[in-house]
This record gives sequence, structure tokens and C-alpha cells, in this order.
Amino acid sequence: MGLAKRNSVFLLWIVTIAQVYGQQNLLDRKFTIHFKNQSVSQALEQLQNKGNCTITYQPSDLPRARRITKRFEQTEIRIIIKEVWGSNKLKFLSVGSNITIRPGATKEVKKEKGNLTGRITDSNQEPLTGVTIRLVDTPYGAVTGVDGSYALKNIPVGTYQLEVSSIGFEKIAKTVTINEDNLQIDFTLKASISELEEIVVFGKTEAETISEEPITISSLDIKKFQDQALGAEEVLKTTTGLVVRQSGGLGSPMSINLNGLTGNAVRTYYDGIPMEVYGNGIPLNTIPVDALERVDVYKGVMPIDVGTDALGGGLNLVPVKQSDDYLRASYSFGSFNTHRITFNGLKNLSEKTSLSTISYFNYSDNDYRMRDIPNLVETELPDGSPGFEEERIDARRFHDQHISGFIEGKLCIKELKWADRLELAVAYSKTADEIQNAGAIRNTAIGEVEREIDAFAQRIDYRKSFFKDRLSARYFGVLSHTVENLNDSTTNVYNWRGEILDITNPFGAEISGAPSLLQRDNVGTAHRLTLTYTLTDHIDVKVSDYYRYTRQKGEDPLGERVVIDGEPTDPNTLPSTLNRNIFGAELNANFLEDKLNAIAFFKNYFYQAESIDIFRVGADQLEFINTQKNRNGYGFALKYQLHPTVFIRTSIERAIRIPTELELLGDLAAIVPNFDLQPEESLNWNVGTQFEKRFKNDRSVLLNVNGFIRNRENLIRPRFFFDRIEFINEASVDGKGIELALKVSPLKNLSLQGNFSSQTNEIAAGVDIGNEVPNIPLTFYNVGATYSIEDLFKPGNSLQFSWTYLYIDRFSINTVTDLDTANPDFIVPQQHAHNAGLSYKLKPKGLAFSFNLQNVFNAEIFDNFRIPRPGINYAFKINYSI
Amino acid sequence: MSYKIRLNSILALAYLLSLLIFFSACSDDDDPIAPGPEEPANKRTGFVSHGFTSSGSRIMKYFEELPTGTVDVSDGTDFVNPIITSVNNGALFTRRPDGSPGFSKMVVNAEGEIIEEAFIPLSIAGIGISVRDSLTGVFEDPSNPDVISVFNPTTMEVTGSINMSAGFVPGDVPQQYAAFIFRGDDVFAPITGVGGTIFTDLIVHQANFSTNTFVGDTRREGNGSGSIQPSGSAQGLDAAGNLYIPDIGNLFGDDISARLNKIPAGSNEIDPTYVFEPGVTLNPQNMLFPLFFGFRFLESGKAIALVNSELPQEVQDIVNDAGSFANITPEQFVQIQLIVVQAETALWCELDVDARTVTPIEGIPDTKLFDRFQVFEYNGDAYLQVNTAAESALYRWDPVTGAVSKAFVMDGLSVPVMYNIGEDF
Repeated sequence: MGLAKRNSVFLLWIVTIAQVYGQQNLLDRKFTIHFKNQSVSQALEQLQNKGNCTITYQPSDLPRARRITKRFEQTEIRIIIKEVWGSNKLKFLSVGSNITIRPGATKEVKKEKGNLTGRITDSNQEPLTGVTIRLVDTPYGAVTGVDGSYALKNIPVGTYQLEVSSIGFEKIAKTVTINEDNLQIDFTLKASISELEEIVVFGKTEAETISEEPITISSLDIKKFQDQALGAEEVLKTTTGLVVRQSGGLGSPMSINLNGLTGNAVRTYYDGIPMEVYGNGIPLNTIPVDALERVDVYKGVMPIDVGTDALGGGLNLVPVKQSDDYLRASYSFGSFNTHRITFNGLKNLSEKTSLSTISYFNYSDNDYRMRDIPNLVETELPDGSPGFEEERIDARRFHDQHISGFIEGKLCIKELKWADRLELAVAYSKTADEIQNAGAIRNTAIGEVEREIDAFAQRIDYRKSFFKDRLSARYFGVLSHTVENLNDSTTNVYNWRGEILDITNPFGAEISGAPSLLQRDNVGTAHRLTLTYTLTDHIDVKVSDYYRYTRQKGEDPLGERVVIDGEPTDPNTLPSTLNRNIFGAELNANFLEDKLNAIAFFKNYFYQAESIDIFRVGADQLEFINTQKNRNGYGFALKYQLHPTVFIRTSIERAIRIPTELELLGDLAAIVPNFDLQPEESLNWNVGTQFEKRFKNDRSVLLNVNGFIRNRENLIRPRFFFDRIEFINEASVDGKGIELALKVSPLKNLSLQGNFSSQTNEIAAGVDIGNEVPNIPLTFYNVGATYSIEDLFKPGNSLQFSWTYLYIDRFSINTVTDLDTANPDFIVPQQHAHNAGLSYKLKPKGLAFSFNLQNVFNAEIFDNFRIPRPGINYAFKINYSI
Repeated sequence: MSYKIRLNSILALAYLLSLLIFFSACSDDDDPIAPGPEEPANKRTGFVSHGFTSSGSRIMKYFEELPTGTVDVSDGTDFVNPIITSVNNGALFTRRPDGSPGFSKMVVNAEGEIIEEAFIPLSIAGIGISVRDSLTGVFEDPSNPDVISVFNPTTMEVTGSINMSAGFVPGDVPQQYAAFIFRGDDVFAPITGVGGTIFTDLIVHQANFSTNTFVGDTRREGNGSGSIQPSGSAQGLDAAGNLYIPDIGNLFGDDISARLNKIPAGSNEIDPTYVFEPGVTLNPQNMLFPLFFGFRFLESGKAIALVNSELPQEVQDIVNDAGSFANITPEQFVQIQLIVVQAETALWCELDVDARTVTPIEGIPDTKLFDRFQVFEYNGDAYLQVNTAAESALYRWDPVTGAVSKAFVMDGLSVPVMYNIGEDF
């Protein structure tokens, strides 16, 4: 900087100071200041610091729920305060450097008033937080919440000029007429090209907002992946603390390992409804990214209105939610003859009524090549009799076809007198799978087993607010019927070349101990009622009750029979039932000018089961066994906003998992019931911090560090005695770990991210105390980059490159004392996978094309129990949306 | 002249001898085609432990010397699924340790590492493999139930199979061989049904190695009301050539007690007049579980077995409450099973197979009946396993003097057992 320029800047500064302090009234002083998703108290504090003044007010007058995101350019302090407060009816008293604020008296208008509500999204249908909606020249205004919704209430009827504005977006002006009915208007804001380069945009997506709750949640914004040819499980692999593993290709059985817990300890929900209600009819790894808005990963601590009996947390898959008319369809094809189709859409029939659908279809042969696996071939022994040899080959999977489909139709009605929102949905799903292997890869293949699941579900979701919004109620109910068919009834034996060997299988079944043509009917219903009451501006009280009933019955024409009343009886025809009820109560309070957010909750778990015991000796009549248990859990979460860019949080829950039907009631075969089985318990504790700073031109940095402890007791494990299995409570495991997530956008179009996780899960009781729980990765991380080029070839078109590298450190599938001395034959080696993607989006036609390469370098990667995963594979996808 | 010739002869002999000594002294170092160092030999003596982790995987560990005190057996080599059924020439013969169907020969290499040396693949996992000597062994192939497969334990080559389809099998039930017991060139193999089916008689098939042919079958007839679970003992042949095959009787309540069946020397038939039920002999009131396991002859000629000595009082109370065993409820039945699995009611006993008497060995504590155990002999002593809730210990018993002492305790794994790889069975 030259001397002359420095002098002129100095002179300008002197003049500015003189102008500012030369003014007589403090309220008239002008400031440039910006607020980023701050509470009113935080904003006023910042204003005090900026203006070197004191602003006093009655804390009880504060609009606690209000948050402000806005930039003011040389604006008078009185106007800033009014906008921060969200009211034009403030009274000011300015003495010296002190400003006293008092809300003006508001007269109750008992009639001729209406409401204006709606939702504001960007052009990608992402909800926009912090958008200002105001009626010009009136005190009526609002700022959108985390879901992009707004509400202006008790507006005198009349015609107004409505303005919708947010920094970085083009302002919308519209004339509206308010009458006594509720008026709903949704807006889609277009990015302001001219302003983007100048102004900081502070809006947060819903996923980002949820990720900042006191309870540790990693919310994945799936919508930004929707153009890519990926399944939901692929996106989940790029978060911290989560390992997703499958036992084969698309649609194969999968396990989710969350902070070291897996299996039944991690619950999955679809739109807040436990997935088990659908009877495995919607496997997570069949859901394409197009069908989802986001996935919320709850780490160890579950809110009362989402969680059920999740010992280690859960995943909530949130389907696409839009309120404007839209249609989105996609088709992708790729390696292994994989085809995926999605069709989603919404049509507003009126301002209050809409119809929508979410649907998808998947097909794959899953015939990927596995390297260096054992294969059995028949030979002739020296005496001429048949024998075997084992070779190692690269084999292509030949019996792993997967077909799945899901369709949901939904009617949504809003703003009724008796309901703010009512959704009625009907869903049908079907999966049909050939099964190629059960567990680890052996020298023979499964060549004929097939499984089909048909699930039909009806859902109702009702929301209503009462007492001027102080009480809100939500109820959902689901009625489902699932039919599962298993065909495992061959004496053929297949090798990995797909050949039928000359020998026969004496069991007559490939995965079962005996031939089976099992058909199992599962009728279930689940209901949840959640009531939230705002006691004060600082305190909310919430209660939630979840009830679920399942009844299982079936038949197996080939299965074993038990003799009851002298008659051979198919035990599958004898019904078993399970009732569960989980009640929760929560207190949510804000302190210290909203810097401190505390949540405390209590949960009660109750279950009752009824089944017969076919193992009764000398039974001559049917007898049902009934059992019930009751447990309490509790939790606490705390978040403190140290600085607008930094918060710390901690949460703890005594979590309970109710035994499953299989664990409790057995399988009417080898697994005997254990009606004394106790629920699993775990003390889950999280502590973490997050730093986030955003800059101009979409540049930002976010660092999230989280540590966790998971101490589990009464873990349920199978005990083998004689030729039977009984589930018992025995094991204990102490887990702890650390996760680190870093997101950096150094340039407007470049985004870099890394997620690192390290954990241990030590066996805390029994003979091998101190050893790691086997078959769980201890250290894993991923790094990725996304770069986009805007306006390529044509304004509005964009090209996006993405690359992800995933690493999983070695681990043993056996319980071992030391990995360095463990048997290398059972160690899953270090894995390195590189994935790449390219997508091109055309605007305004709504066409998008993407090409994804998985395992770019054709590395050897594995899933559960060393099952080989596919080498390099591709998928091409075309999307169309209007 | 003759002297001169003799002297020359002596000198020539000395010369030749010196050359011989010289070249023999140089040959090891200088011969360019001398063979390299021999492969280090596998261990032929020592001890191998085997136990379960809580996840069900197995850990095996080699001990050069017989352990003393308390030994940690958890820091050995991990495997998925080995089940050792025979030891020969230092090698352990087992179900394949990685869980694949088939059988393996595992050895302890010179470094003391336990490794799989060779394997025989199968399409379906079987359990029965037994070795007679270093040249002959047999195994069952569940995919081919009508044969006994013969293999060479040294090379693990399958040399042939014996067609056993002429053997009697009740009904149309697939069968498999539960055990193999050798007598000379003959092998006796009790059968059991596939998939949990058990026959109401004890049926034993017999084959001959020298001719590779089926010889015949014999049976112990039950009373038809309940099944008889087959068992077997690799060391059930006495010095006189009598073969003893134990069975488990009917495990639950059909009044068929576990019995020691005798095939007299020179006969191929179970002697129906020989009735020896050690559980009943030890305690005639032991009606629910008159079981015995681990029957074998020691080098001294004495026979031993682990015999259930009593019914736990808790079980007796349950039965008394119900009035009779037939009246118990399902919950009570499972409760009884769980009690007897945990009950420490079995005693190591000396069996006089001729007099049909059972004598508990004094000084060895009661042990769990249903836990795994392994008995071996070493330096003339028998090492008998005792599993209690507190520990898994081996007790040393001198069959000659009757002296008993605790040899060592195994720690760190669930139900650990110890094999003497220097003792073939």
C-alpha cells in the first residue's frame, strides 16, 4: 500500500469517527454489523460490543425462540434492534451510552386476523434457514427455522406487500391478501449472482442444523448426492464412526457398526418409524440416494421422540420432503447388470392438499468376480471311487440376483381446523433375493436358495398445535403385514464355477439344517404420540409414547413336526406375539441467553411376550408361555455456545435394548425360548466440540471432534447346550473412541472433507477379558474432494467432480490378544478403496448425468468376515426433474 | 621277501587308510553337491492346548514341557473351528481350522508354531476323522454317507473308500459315522442319523482295511421307547482283544442308561449278555442322567471313565414338585437341562470291565459332566481333567500307586483342554 493511499484511509477513518461521535443521539448512530444464526440476546451483546454501549432489557421480554441471520450496512441502531427483536413496537430510552428497551403494549385483536405460513427453499429444494419474511410497513415479520418454514400469525386481515429476502438470494416481492383463513405460500429463492461474490451467506441446511443439537448427531445431507449413481449405504460410509458392511452385492444382508456397536444394538428408522415394523422389507442398502433427503446418525443417545430401544444409537432415513410441485425420475445402469429406477413427485391439488409418491426399483445380477477363493472339484481316487480336490480360482458370483421395489403414495392435507398437517400413506415393498453365500466364503457355493419378502404398510401422521402453539402434538401409526418366503430345499451341491457336483447334500438344504419352504406372516402395528409443551420461552417439556405389537405365524410344508394332542403339528403355525411400550419424558431448557442448552430425559421400557415352547417333554396339550419385563433409562445432554463459531457439548444415556423375538421366543427349532432373558444395557457418553467459520464466496471450515464411551452390560449371546441354542445375558464390553470430521471449502467451488475414527471395544468380563471384540474395524477414515465448474458451456450448467478415498485398518475376525501375533489367515488386511464421480447438470431443463466409478484401482477390499467386495465397477445415471 | 611283502602291504594299507581319512575329513566342506541343511523337523513331543474364546473362535498353544502351576493358554494361535479327534506321530487331526468343510493335519513346527500342514477338502463339514497309524486313517464324508473314506495320515492323500452301503440303517434316514474304533485291520463305526435323528438301537458298522470291504454290522437293541445316542472310544481295546464301545443311552428319561458294549475278542458281534452301565452301577438312584464319558484303557490296562454320580438336588426338587419326570413343564425341562450342564456331579472312576465295578478315584474333585475334557498319559501317569466353576485343572493320577495331585491349571479361555502330541490315539 502506497503512502498516499494509507494517508487517505487514515483520513477517512478520522472523518468517520468524527461523524459517528458528532451525532447527538446514540439511537441514530449507524453501524455495519452482521449476525449469523444468533439468538436475540447474542445479537444484542454483539451490538453492545460494536457500539461500545450498554443495552438493557427485561430478560423475560426477550423473544427467546427467535434467531437472526442478517447483515446490516450502515443502519441506525434503533432499526437494528427492532429487526433483531422482530418487533416495531419497541420503546427506547437512551441515556449516555445506555439504551433501555421495553416492548410496547400490544392490543389483543380478537377478530379479523389471519395467519401466513409456508416454507422457503433454494433452487435445489434445500430448506433455507434465516430468510426474512416481512409485510412491508408493518411490524409483521419472521425468520425461517431450520426446516425453512415460517409463520406470521395474528395478522389483521387486509392486503399487504410481502417481501422475502435473504443475503445471497434475489429478493421476492408479492402482494398478499390476508383473511381469516390461514394462507400458505411457499417460496423458492434464486441465488443472486451479483451478490454471491460480495456477501456472506449464512443459511444452514437442515442437516447442518441438526448436527449442532446438544445430542450428538451426524446428519448427512443426502440430497447433494442425488444426481450420483449411489446407494444410501455408499454415502453412509463417508461419515465418522460408522462402518457399513454387506455379505454380498446389492441388497445382500448388511450390518451397520456404529461406534463399535452392531446388529440389534443399532436401530434403523424410516422417517422416524422403526424399520423393523416393515419386517425387513426396506433394507437400507436397497434405497437409492434419490429417495432420501438426509440420514440422521444418532450416536449412542437417542431423543425420546425418535428412539426406541436402541442400545448404541440409530439411523433415521428421512425421505425426500418437498412442498412445491415437483417430479424427479432417474435411471441408472452399471456393472453386474445393475439397473436402478426412481420416480418421486408431488402435486399440490390445492393450497391445502397434495399428493406425493416415492418409488424405486432395483435389479442386479450381482455377478462380480471374487479373487482367489477356494473351489471344490470332484476327482477320482486311486481306487476309482470319487473324491475331492480344492483349487483356488477367481470366480464370478452366479446366484446373487437381487430385485427390490418400493412405492409409497401419500396424501397430505394441511391447515385444517382439526389438524395442522395430516398425512395418509400407503406403501408396498418387495425384495427377492438369490442367496450365494451364508457368512464366510467356503469351497462350495449356494446355488438355489431364494428369499422373498413382501411388505405392505399403511401409515398415518397427524400434527396439530394448541394453545397458541404452546402445545404441539404429533401422532403416527403404522399397520404392516409382511410375508417372508424362504426356499431352501435342494440336495444339489454347487461349486464356485456354478457346476452341480455329482454328490448330493444329505441335509436336503443349503443354509438350513433341513429342507425348508418356510412362509412366515408377520402382522405388526406401531404407534407413537409425542406432545411438546412450551412452558416458558426457555423451557419445553416433551412426552412421547411408542407402542408396538407383532404377531408372527407361518407354515413350513417341509419343516419338522411336533406332536401335540397326538397329532403331528407344524410349530410354525403356532403364533407368537410381542408387545413393547417405550415411554419418554424430556425437559429442554435454554440458559445464559441461549448459550447453554440442556436436555434431560427419562425413558421406560416395557415388553411382554407370549409363545409356546415346543420342547416340552410329554406335552399333550398346547400351552402358551407369557413373560414381561420393565426397565428404566435416562439421559442428559448439554451444549454451550462458547463463541458464535465454537460450541462444546456432551450427552449421556443409560440405554436399553429389548430382546428380539428370536432371542426371547426362539425359532421353534434349535433355538429355545428364554423367557428370563433380560434387556441389554449400555451407558453411552459423548463429549465433543465443533468449530465452524464461514467466509465470503462460500468458503468455510468446519472441525468436529467427538469422543465417546460405550460401556455395555448384560449383552445377549447364544449359549450352546446339547443340540440346542439358548440366548443368555453374559457378555460385557467397554468401548471408547474418538472421531474427527473436517470440512474445508478453500475455494468457492472446491470442498474437501475428511472423517477419522478410532475405537476400541474391550471385552470386560469372561475368560478373554481385555481382548478386542472380533470382526470390528478399529481405525478407519475417509477423505474426499468435490470440485464444481459452474456455467460450463452454458449459463446455469454445472460439472462436478468428486473423489473419495476410504481406508480401513486391519482387524481380526477372531478374538485375539495381539494383532501382531494373531494368525494372519484370519486377519482382514488393510483396505484402500478409491471412488470417483462425475456429474453434469443441465439447467433449466432439469437433466443431470452422472458417472461413478467405485474401487477405481481395483483393490482387494472385503466386507463382513472377509467376503470379497467387487473390484472396479461403474454406474451411469440420468436424472430428470421438473 | 614275505616280510617285505607284508611290510609293503602294511604301508599300502596305511596309505589307503590315510587317504580315506583325508578325503573323508574333507568331503563335507568341499563337496559342491553336498545336500543342504535338512528341513527343521516338526515337534513330535510336547503338549498342545485348545480352548474357546467368548466369540467361539479357538486358540491353540504349544508347550514344550508339561506345564506346572497356572498357565495362560489364551496367547496362542487363533483359529475358527478346529476339533481335534486324533493324534499321530506328533500331528493333530482335526476338522479344518478355518471353518471350511474337510479335515486337516496340524503340526507344531520347529519354532513351536501350530500350522496346518495339509488338508482333505470336503463339500460338507464332518467331524469324524481317526488315525490308526502313520499309514492308515479313516474319515466320514457327509456327502457320501455310505462309505468310509481311507487316507494316508502322513501325506493326507485319500487312498480310497470302503463301500458300506450293505450296512444296516433303520428307515430311510441319511446316516453318518459318529466314531471310529480300530481293532487290527478292522474298524468299527457306530452310526447316527443326519440332522439330529437318533436311532432306537446302537448300530455299529464294521469294515476291513486289508480288503477294503464291508464286514458286517452289529447292534445293541433298545427297548424301542427311546433312541440311543452313539458314542465311541479310540482307546477301547483291552489287552485281550476285547473291544468296548460306550454309548450314551437315551439322554432324557426313557430308561435306557448309558452302557459299555462289549465285542469279545474273536467276535464281531456286541455281546448281548454283557450289561455294564457304570452310571447305574455307581449310583442306582441316578435315573435321569446315568451317563459316563471319556472311557479308555490306560497303558497299565486299567480302564477309566468320567461317571455321573448323582442327580443335583435342584433337579430332584423339580421332579418331585411335578410328581414325575413326565409331568414337568417346558420351563422346568429347560431349567433341568441348564442345571445339569452346570452341575459338578461327575467323578473320575476306575472301571473293572470284567467285574463291572466302578470305583471313584480318591482325591479328584467332582467335575462338570458335559464340559469338554481330554485325558492323556505321560510318564506313566494319567492326566484327568476337572472342570468346575472356579477352574479347569488337570489332576495327575498314578494308576499303580493311586497317588493323586493337581498337575496344573489352564487359564484364559473357556473349557480348555490339553493334548499330549507324543501319545497317539
